[in-house]
Amino acid sequence: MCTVDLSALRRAVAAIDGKDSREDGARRSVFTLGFAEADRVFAGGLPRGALHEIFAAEAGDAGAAMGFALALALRASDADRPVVWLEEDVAVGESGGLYPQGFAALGFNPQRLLVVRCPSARDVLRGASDALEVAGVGAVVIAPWGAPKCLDLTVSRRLLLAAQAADVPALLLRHGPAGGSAALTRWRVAAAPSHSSGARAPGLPAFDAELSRNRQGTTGHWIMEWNSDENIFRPVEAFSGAVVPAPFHGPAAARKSMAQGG
Amino acid sequence: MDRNAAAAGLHIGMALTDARALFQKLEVANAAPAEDERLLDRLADWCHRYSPLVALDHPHGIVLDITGCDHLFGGLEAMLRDVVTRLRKNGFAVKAAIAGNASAARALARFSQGGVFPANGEESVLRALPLVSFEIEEASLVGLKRAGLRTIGDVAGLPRAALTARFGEAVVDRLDALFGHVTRPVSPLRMVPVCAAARRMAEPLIVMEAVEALLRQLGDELFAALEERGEGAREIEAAFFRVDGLVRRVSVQAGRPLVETAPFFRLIRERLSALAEPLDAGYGFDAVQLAALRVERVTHRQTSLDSRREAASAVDALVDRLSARLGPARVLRPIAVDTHIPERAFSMVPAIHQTADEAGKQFQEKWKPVFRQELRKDKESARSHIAANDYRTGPHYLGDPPARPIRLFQPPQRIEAMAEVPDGPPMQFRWRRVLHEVALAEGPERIAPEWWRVDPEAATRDYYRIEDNAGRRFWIFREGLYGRDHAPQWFLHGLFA
Repeated sequence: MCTVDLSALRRAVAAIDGKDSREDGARRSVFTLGFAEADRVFAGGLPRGALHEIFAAEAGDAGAAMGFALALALRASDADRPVVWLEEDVAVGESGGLYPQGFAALGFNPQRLLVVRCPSARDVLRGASDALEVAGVGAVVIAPWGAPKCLDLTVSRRLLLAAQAADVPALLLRHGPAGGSAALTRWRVAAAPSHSSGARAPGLPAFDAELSRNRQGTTGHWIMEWNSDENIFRPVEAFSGAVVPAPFHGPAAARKSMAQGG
Repeated sequence: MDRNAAAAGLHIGMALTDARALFQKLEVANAAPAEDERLLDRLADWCHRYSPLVALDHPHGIVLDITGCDHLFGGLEAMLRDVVTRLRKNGFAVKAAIAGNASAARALARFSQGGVFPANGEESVLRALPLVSFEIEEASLVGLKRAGLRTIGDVAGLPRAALTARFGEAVVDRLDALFGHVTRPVSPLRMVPVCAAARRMAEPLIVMEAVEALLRQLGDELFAALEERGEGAREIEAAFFRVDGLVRRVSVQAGRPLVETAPFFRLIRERLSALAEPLDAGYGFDAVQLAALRVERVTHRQTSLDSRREAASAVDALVDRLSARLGPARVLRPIAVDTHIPERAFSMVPAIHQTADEAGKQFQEKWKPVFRQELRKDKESARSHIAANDYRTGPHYLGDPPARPIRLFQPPQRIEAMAEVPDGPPMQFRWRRVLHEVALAEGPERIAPEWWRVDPEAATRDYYRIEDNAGRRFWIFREGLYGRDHAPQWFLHGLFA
């Protein structure tokens, strides 16, 4: 019988996988979405110190993708740590400035917010790698505009390593085409019809979230809503589409009904 | 007016034709007072190498308060020599004097040979100066001359009451100033630093590495001096004096007082590398100065064992660093403002102006009513299912969707909307050429203009939360009321998650 050093083998496999090889020592901190169906995909939860990409499915889904990133930041960070939000100046003109009152309404304490307005994508990425060096930061949201050239595989790998070293979640908020990236997960987020709270009023924010990449498990596609009182993702109870007849059947609606079925 | 011109018989105020007659090869240039002023400014800036207290004496003088500075230059004589030779080397005609007060020094520089006047010898020279050195109105001067007075000493010997009665207060004022009976404060051009460290080099520094090494040394000196005072610096300015007279100033700010060289050095390096116009050594810097412009008392220097405190100070250091690179106006924290007008209800302030601890205190007062998690801890609110209770938005119950968007357009975006009159939500609207069919809507939430501001343009707004067929959520308002205002218009103000 030959004896096998299991932990050494695990380390070797982890190194090949590109995961953090130090996990045998200290248990790595993780977070969950609180939405059991989606959490099942991540055995033991999502690693906190990692790079997660959130793509807006279309240009019009920027608000939804941002809300989803904010919700992830809330799930992934301690309640009293600051969240560094880096974005380019051009974002303010295109989709408006960050509105702290709205952050509060989503369950995010506005005083935790540290906004860094950058003149270019390069400054966003540079600032992000600085912020990821700071252990006191709760989460870093990195929002370069579009698909900048300087955001390549090397840079995303650097961000991933920095996030791992500091155990700070790095959330890369993007739109446009996806290039090569070292991110641990990639989400494609679109707005989903909310469950009306009655009287034809829009309900809690609902997201159509497709996990299109997961280095630690399988992918998936869910519709979930964000409960800002509990800070938790939940399944959307019923679709408002059924309550209010929708006269418009664009590709987005078709995609959503597919997602509902699967 | 220089010596050669005076020798040729020219004088100020002479007609050009007369001057031409005297001196045929005269070259004429237009006076450029603005440029003269700029040059004087630059010269004054350069003079900061001698003393932090430099004031302009228009139109062509500079006053330096050198109290306590002379020993750094090897005494008064050597200092004056240094000033004069350096300026002459650069092609300026200079007259300079050191005296017990600024007015006396000015008069001596202009109307005597100049030089160093030790406190006692000064008076006799002053007394011998002609009446012109009073620099008073022509009428008073003529009056003094008619009375047979020739020098300042003559006037100084007369009784004050009689002088004031006959020639006005100006003469007595000038006398008092010249002899130091009253002290006229000079208004320095720049803030006088609390603490400074400077180094002058015989051999100019050209290599950036050498400059950085010097900055480190000066930092050590500055922080040692500050530590003795029990203070740390919130703002430090580095001044680089180039051999050719150009002065470059770079300042760094910190949210938490700096007490050590290492963090300061990181900040100044960050700042130097982010300069729009990089620091150019040219022929080298012959003097470098670090000055603490704003200081704050440091209560404790012991590193805390509390990890939370440590984390907070790490975040403050991050703020300092990003502010040094991008500028303080780009690293921001939101603060709540007491108004119900959505776009005025918050303000983004430079994070460097408050530390994380201070920010936490501000939260207690301002953000608490807006932030729903906080109110839920309150038992009374929890029983009544109130999640947030803000007078601006009214109470929010558990399970209520967010009432405010996460992105806000400033100014609001014009849209074309079709809605029921008078106050129905839009049924469809077109924004950026895309037509959105409204599936769900809630409203109106009526927000009236602030009555305490007089703004004829402001109209009542009716806000609606809208969800379109694709599930995208918008915050839309109609400005003006049907029937009352001329033509109500629709705007998109924000995007919900």
